[in-house]
Amino acid sequence: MKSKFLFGVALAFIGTTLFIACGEGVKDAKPIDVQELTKNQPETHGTQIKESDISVTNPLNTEWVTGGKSIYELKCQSCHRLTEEKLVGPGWKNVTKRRQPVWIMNMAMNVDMMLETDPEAQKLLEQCMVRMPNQNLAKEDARKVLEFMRSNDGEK
Amino acid sequence: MNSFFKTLMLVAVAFPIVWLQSCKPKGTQSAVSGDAAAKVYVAPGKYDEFYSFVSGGFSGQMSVYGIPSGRLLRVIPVFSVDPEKGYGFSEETKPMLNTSHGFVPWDDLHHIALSETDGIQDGRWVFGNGNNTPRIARIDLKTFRTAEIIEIPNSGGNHSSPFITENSEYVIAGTRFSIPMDNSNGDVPINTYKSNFKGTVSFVSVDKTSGNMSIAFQILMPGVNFDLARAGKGKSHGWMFFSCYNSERANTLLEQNASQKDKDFIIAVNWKKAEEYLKAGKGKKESVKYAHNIYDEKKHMATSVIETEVTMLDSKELTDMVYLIPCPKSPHGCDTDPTGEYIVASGKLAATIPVFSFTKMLQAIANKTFEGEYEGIPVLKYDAVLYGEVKKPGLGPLHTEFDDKGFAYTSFFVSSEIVKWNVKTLEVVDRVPTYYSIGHLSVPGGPTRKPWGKYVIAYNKITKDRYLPTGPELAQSAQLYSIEGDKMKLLLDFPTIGEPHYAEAIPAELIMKNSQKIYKIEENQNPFAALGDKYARVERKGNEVHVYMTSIRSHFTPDNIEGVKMGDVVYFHITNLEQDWDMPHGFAVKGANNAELLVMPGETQTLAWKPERIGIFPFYCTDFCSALHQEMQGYIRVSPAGSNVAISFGTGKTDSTAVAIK
Amino acid sequence: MKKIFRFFPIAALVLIFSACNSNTESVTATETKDAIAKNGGQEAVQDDVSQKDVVKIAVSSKDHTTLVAALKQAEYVDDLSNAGPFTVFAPTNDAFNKLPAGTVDGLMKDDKKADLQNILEYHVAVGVYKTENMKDGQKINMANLGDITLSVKDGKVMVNGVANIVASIPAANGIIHVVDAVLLPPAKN
Repeated sequence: MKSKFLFGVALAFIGTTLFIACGEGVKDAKPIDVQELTKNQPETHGTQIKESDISVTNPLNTEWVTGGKSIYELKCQSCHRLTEEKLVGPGWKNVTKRRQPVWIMNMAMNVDMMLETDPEAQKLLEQCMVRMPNQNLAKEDARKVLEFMRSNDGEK
Repeated sequence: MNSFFKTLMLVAVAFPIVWLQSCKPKGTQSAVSGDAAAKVYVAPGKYDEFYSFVSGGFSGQMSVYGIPSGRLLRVIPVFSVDPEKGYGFSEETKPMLNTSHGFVPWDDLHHIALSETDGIQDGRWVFGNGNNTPRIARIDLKTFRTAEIIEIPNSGGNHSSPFITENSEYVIAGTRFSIPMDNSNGDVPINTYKSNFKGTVSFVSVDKTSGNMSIAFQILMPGVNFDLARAGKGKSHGWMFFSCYNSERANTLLEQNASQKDKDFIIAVNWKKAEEYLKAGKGKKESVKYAHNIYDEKKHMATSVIETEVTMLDSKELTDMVYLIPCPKSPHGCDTDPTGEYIVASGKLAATIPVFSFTKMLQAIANKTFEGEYEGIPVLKYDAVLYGEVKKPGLGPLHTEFDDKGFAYTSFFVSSEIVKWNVKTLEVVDRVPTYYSIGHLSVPGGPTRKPWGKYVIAYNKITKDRYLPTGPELAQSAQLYSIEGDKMKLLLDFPTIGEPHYAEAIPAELIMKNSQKIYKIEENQNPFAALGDKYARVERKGNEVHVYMTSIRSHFTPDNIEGVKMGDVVYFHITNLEQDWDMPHGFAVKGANNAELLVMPGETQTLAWKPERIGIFPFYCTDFCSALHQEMQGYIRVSPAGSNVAISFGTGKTDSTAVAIK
Repeated sequence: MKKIFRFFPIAALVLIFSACNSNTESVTATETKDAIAKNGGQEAVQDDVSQKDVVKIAVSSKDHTTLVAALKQAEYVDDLSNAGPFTVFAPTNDAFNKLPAGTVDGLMKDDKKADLQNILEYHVAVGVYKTENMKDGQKINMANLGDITLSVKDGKVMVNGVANIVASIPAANGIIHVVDAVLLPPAKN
């Protein structure tokens, strides 16, 4: 009985291998590729801002400054002070003098892209140790925040 | 290799496999065809094809599995508190579990109903019943959260529920236990059952846009036990079919005494007729008490209202609204096929499955082919309504689901198998064993006008040796079978949480395209929200201390709090300022006789804490959020009752913005 | 083993085709109903600790070898190992011997399986019916849909006026009432 059993096991094993080998008909589980669908979400980040997309003019747009301030209070203030003091992230004083508008806009909207590609952003991550959260800012929101930063840096 | 040799070789190979299996102990393992693994394999990063919403039975919850992989995706808290998610522990969610009996933190969820449009699953809501303290819950499939719970008055236990009509006009609620009506004197001897105990079925309307439920009307019924139900569809849309048992109306040892009669009933309710009677003012207003709880998605907060009235239609007085179809031996499952023509009733003690014809039922009603009356309701002649019987299909038929090719799949508890039969010819064409003693079964889209087919899933009642043993208490046992070919093929065993009864599966794309990722912080209307650190603060109101706290990677504001005294109740209102998908923060404080909070991005939730001793109490974020998650913490100081330590708070060095507001 | 060989050619074909041929349907469709697999029971669960189920009790009784053989022939061993609960009226070997000579042997033939199943189903009810709750004149509907009638006299229960309950044994999934005569189902209409 025992030898018969072993024989059976051996054959069964070969059999299984064979089945797979000849199995052109073995179907894929074919899960629908629904990955695409996840992109259809009400999140507005992800579009890279180009230099030509932004125009910076004086005098400041006061409506944007006010709008930018409330966005700051809701979404940024927890980590960024308006002074030079670093809290979780760098203080915002003179940020518009250190960085180009396009850098600021992309940092606000596309953190993941910046941390992957921009050496300056990568340096900041090393200093702060916290990935800046994506705060779901639309392009218009980010532009308002930029205007508020300029006002904070004393532009008129 | 020529084909002759190929065949010969395969026969030689196949033989030992068959032979080996026959030598194994019967039942513990069964033939799984070679490609089963490929059929259930969902590669890393890929998605399942179906969501399956599985009732949690005595866990009170609903679980969500991916099919065909059988992977658990989520447990949605519905009728039971869930400390993992703070459900029923946060101040915002506590009202969801309010009832006319007060806070009831548990129930027994048996059946699932996915919302439908034109008889096709639309992926908007899923409903579940509370069997113990009668309730129906609606879960919003954008958020996978319980959005509404309505209590059912004049019910002793909501088993025959929430089965839905084909345009989600109604979910229904039939009482499992007949009882004296809520507004009568219930203090009666139990053996006066036949005179004092009544049954009801409730039609709960569902608002087309908001999904909000409301009890449209109840129908007063004889004092039997309502078991299961299914809506008519297509030609039978406008009718609801209920199974019932205990037509003997026994009140003790039902195991014997409710099985005396050869036949109980399928109760056919013409709800369009009931709507006419309602409109004509034939309903009687009854004074009752029931809770109606709604979760506000903008306020992140539930409110519970006690309602005080229902309209009752009497099945005895209002003719042409309710008919009885005799059905052998304590019918359990009562299922309508995709065309709406056939009503399949499964007497759980029977050895045949009667299939009734809707067309013949209408004829029998028109011709008054009655065999008598039961409690004032006409009883149709069995033979006049019967389309045919599936003969000797197995022992203990329970439930039937349908595929897209004209076949029915019936579960058999006693003989522990699924039997496939042809709905037209009533011929049994296949059977497969289940491990062990199957209860409900589910084909994707199986109860609708448009079954998606492809799989049938067995939800079994007994597990025994199917998985690695875990002591006396075992995981529940489910099996996935392919129904694409003529023969059902076992593909997968997968364990589930306790205890699945009914489940419904739906193609993934119908749900995932609407799945919400974050709560927009701009839309947060919770009155206790701190929308930005500017509003983070601590306020005393008598002996209540309200902490308006924000959380973002990786700190709380404020994170140092003083001025709390013994005898105070502290309310931590946590607003998660994150706006990124999958960035919840948790919150827990030492010694809280409560649970944690789990706060989604953009959401506000509140934990109440009554300090029991003087000292310093740490609090921290419980959901790993960032590289500095371990740093996401704070302290709250508790001083003696008469202490003069003033309220103060802050985060960082000197937080001028936070201190400024008081 | 006999049964296995009978099924083998079909099973082998199924395996071949499901492995290498996408056109499985045309082959399996020709399968006869007899070949439909049927073993959904817990009979094989290894468990020597729990209370015995009705099958294990019957198997361990030397007075019920005929009944056990009949259950096997009728393929009811698995069913009766399941959760139930069942009330089984279990005729002793002597009870079977009281039937006219040749009856049992006749029923054990493959072509009489349906008759044997019908008789055995007439000995099984779903539910636990204990003797102390049995009433004179009570009817119990059995698994084959036929009724039995109980008579109770001086605390002794008799079934259909022919079979005495001589002992009752509680089981993990129901109860066994040992009876001294085989119950014959009334002719079907």
